[in-house]
Amino acid sequence: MADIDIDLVDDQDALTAASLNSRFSTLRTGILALPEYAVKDRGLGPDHLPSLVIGINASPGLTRRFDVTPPYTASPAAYPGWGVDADWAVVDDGSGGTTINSGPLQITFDTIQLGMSNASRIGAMMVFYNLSLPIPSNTDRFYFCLQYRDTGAAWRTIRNTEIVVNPGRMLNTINGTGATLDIPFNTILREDEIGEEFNGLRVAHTTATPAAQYRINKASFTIIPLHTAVQ
Amino acid sequence: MPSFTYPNTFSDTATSDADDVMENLYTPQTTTPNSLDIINGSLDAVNKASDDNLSRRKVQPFTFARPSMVGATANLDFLEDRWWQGVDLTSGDPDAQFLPIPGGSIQYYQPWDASIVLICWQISWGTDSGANTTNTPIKLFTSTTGSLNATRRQASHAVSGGVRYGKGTDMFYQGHYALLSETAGWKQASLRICSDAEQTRVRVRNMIVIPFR
Repeated sequence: MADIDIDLVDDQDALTAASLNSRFSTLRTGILALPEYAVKDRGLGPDHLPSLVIGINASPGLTRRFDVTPPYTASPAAYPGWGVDADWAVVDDGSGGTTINSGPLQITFDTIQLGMSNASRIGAMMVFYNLSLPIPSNTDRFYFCLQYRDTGAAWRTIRNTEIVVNPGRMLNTINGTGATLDIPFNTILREDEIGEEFNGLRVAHTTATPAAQYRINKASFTIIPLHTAVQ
Repeated sequence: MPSFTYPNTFSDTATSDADDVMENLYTPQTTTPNSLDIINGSLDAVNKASDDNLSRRKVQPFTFARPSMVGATANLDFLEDRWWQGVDLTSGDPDAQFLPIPGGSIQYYQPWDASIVLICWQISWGTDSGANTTNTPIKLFTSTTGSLNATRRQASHAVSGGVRYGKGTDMFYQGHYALLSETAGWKQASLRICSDAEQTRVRVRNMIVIPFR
């Protein structure tokens, strides 16, 4: 126990009701505000502390993936410019699925706000996605990014997650042979990236060439909301 | 729990009673504590100073996650005539013929039920086949769910000449897979390969498993 300072009763001290109440009050106040160093090193374990992963009532879950044969042909809209919210559409498998194993790379959840000082106490959200594109023979460029859904149901682009790929150029000797190109993306979102309340994340795409198409056969998308401090 | 309120407060005009003092010091309760007996196992987050975060030193290892990693640096050559002679990859992936890749296969212990298990890997591979009809898929297998759709396929190519490793035609795969609500115990995860090309050269960087409690 730390920082609970009780004045001992000395000879000739009057043991009054007020002094008794005061000592009990001092003990109670101390016990209700123990400093960090009152906890023994390695004193806390799985039986004492909750999971770092926060339950956020996500739909359809914290991960989403699809595996479609034959590959789905995607036709995204034209790239609207860096940081623009409009015209991006979610990466999809065309199945209309709503389960973890099918449907768009989109996860929605109860409204949260990043930052341990906010009510949802989510300090960071780890985000991973992988896209598998059968390598095409064209050389169209495609853009991908992460978007979040604000409380007005509008999808907002997280600017520093925008990437551009040219599937046909990256492996130029095996275009159209059936080999696949893996596009990986890993990041950690903090309140610096999303400062407002939001209730969804998705992987979105556009293209540099209007009417360009690409094929996609597998994809996965995972979010992990985490406490970043033990408070 | 567990703020607490003493059962007795003392006043100058009341007769002093040692039993009342004793009740404040120690009155065991099966529900909400009401005495200094609270320190006997009833403290929780309410009792911590509100402006203090707990440092890492206060927390036992593997309280929140128990990550493991394996890796390899050597080239790994897989020969079709030794392991997969006659394999037919055109009619689907024959899971039983997939071979675990050293450095891309891990066994790990998960001491508690996990809310999510994140599996990540980095690997590249290529074949020496000149035919344009061969396939070399790599798939993820786990002890919980068998083979998974985390598959990438390096098709061969019609480029003439000899060995093509490292000529920009290798397949690079930095993948992830998430398992939800995994029960405690020993687990396995492995990247496995099958090929109908003559020779496949694999370069694996690592496989990382992070079970989150």
